[in-house]
Amino acid sequence: MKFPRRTTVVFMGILFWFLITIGIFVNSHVNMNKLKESSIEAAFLNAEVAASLIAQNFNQKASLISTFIQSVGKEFHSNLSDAEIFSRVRSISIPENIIQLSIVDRYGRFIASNISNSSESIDLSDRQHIRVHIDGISKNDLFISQPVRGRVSGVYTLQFTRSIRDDGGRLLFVLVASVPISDITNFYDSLKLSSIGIVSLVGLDGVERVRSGKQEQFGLNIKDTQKFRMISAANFGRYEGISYVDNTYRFGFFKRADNQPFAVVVAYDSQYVLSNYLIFKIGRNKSDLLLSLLLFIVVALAMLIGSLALRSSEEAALRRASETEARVTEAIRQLPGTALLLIGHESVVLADTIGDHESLSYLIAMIEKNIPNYVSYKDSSVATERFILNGAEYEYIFGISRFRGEDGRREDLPKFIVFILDRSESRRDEMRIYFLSKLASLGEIATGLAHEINQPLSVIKIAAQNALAGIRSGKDKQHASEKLARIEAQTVRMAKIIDHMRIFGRRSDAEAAPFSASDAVLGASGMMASQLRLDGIALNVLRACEPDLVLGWRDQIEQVILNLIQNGRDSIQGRRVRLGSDFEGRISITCRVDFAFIVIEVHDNGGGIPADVRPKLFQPFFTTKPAGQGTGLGLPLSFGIIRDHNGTIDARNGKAGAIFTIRLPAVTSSA
Amino acid sequence: MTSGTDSEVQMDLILIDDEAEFLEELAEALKESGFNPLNFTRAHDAIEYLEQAARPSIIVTDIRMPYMDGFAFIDAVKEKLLHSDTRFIALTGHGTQADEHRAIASGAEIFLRKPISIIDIVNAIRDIW
Repeated sequence: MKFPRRTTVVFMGILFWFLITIGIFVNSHVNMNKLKESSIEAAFLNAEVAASLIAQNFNQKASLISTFIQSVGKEFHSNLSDAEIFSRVRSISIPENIIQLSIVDRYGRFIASNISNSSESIDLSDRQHIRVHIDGISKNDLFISQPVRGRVSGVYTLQFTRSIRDDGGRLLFVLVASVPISDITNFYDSLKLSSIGIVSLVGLDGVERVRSGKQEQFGLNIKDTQKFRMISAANFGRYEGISYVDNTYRFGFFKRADNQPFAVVVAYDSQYVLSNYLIFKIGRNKSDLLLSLLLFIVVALAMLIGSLALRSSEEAALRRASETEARVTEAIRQLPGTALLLIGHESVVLADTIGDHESLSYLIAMIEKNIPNYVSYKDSSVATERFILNGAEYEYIFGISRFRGEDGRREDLPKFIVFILDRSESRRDEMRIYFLSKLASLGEIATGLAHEINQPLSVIKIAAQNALAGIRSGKDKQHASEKLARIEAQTVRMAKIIDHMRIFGRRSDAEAAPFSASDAVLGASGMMASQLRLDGIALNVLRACEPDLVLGWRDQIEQVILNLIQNGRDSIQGRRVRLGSDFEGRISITCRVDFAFIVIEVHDNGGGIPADVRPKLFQPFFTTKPAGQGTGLGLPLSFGIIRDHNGTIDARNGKAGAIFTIRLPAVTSSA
Repeated sequence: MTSGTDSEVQMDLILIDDEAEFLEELAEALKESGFNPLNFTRAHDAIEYLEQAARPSIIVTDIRMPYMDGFAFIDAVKEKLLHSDTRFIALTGHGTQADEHRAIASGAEIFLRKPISIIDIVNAIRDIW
């Protein structure tokens, strides 16, 4: 037997090396494609979170301005002279972000603004944002103009306009609030997206209102682009392709604002996305571990042939991997209030710039526990969690993506990647705005209260005068005592209104504590049970839900349920008047757990809420009950309480009557 | 049916307010002053009556009422051209300036703020009778 010749060994070695090299190239190529996919996926997800945030922010801005204009509109009527209009406009306190508030008459003639009155008549009737109201295209809705450059200031503004109409729908005025574009772009900037892409607010009329990120250029009409057709066809979606702005290929997401005909587009530069393999390590290190083990053996063999080149190229690949990983963490570090999390058999925080680690750990535990709920049907989703920890309120938005590129059979690989955005600060800002608006509505409440108190006062005054007149003219005692009884009853009514008001304005001093929602339901129904029996109304509390802990103030939730039961009873009694007294009244209360919420429903068979009443349901002092029976505060009070509990309350009609649904965030008993 | 104490013209006096007890007291006071008012707690009912009334009325109406408020009521009566010399006195619980302007603009001749005194309402009615 012969030993193989030296040339054969060398030949075999070279062949082996050649095959291995091809193998590495192929593997690397496949891996690179997977990485590319993951990076793009991460960019889409990130853009989805950003676009949702921005759309929400825009909605909030627009509705605040819209409400402001509407309430200001009540100050004006057609009998005012121009000078009176000017002095009224001047006397209004205008939110900071509105740099000018103008009033235009029904023909499009500028009358006055808070800055100037019309010394010369300026005809604005050719402006689109005035025209839409004159032509009646935009009924009472808010219209947001294309960007306009101020003649003097040079500042770009959007004109938020609304019509003021009389009861017959005739146009009286158009109110114009000028809001500088920077007011909107400041929010984009705070998200720090503009350095890596474009953020754009596109009207569904095809005109771009505000853009941030690339050269400042506003008012572009993109109606005929492929992109716009995509945006106008769906409420949200992924955005991919060559940008009309600068011919850059982009990945992103667009989302329509809920209440306004606008969409937000967040589109990242493809170059940025692809050069920052955000999830590089995840796809790479574990699977490469096996490969490098294999390589190690191969290399050992190859070393026999003296091929050092192979080893050095492997080292280079690993070095590139760790460099890229560093770039990823660096990228996250530049985005304040964000974190990147991997969830597998254990969770790893890859990078984070969220200062508050206690709340972050709390959130991560929450995500780990609930992850099947977030991504049960799809590969990725965006979710929001709010919670209160150590007395502070937190809100996080996060995108979760099922980890792609692996078959999921391997236990040691991460299963999900989560991109977390800390919204706690803006949530607290929103709550501040909410309390401010609560303060603002105090004016409205004061007016309503004066009216409500005035009603019994009017009865008392005339009854007292009648009593006096009766005594003077020698009427019998019976007459006077009837009057006094009536006066007394009216004072009871006044006390009731004041009592309700006290709860309405109250911000409980006690700290929020977890309590059982079922207990609150049982407490409230217990209070009403005997009264309802007397009224001949059956009250069913259908099973308590489990778990049922919510965070807040039990007495307040009891108050809400009490109000709803009373409303149900009143509507049943109203129905009895129409259908006869043998109509069988029924109120039932159910409780169930819907994922992260405890849902309490109060059903009655009182016939439901008339369509014209529904929009005013939660408005203070609105009541359909006979004078003296309802204060018109029960539902607004309930609304405020539920809102304070971070929950929602709404009403709909079922088959037999109204259904009020309360949703309160559930807390886990360990919290 | 009704007559003012010092009037030759035959007119009805109509009171509209969603507050039944207020209406009752007001009617009692006005009867003591020699009027014979008709009460309605709902503006709709008053319109129904006016549609078949044989003569013009003086109408004392509350402004803030559920379902149909005083402004809408005055407009509806004017629109239907029910007796062109029908006159209006508007009452409100808490009148803003704008409300007063609006009431006058819509055709109410006198605007009274609640709580009213019997003497004020009697004078107001006599003024325009």
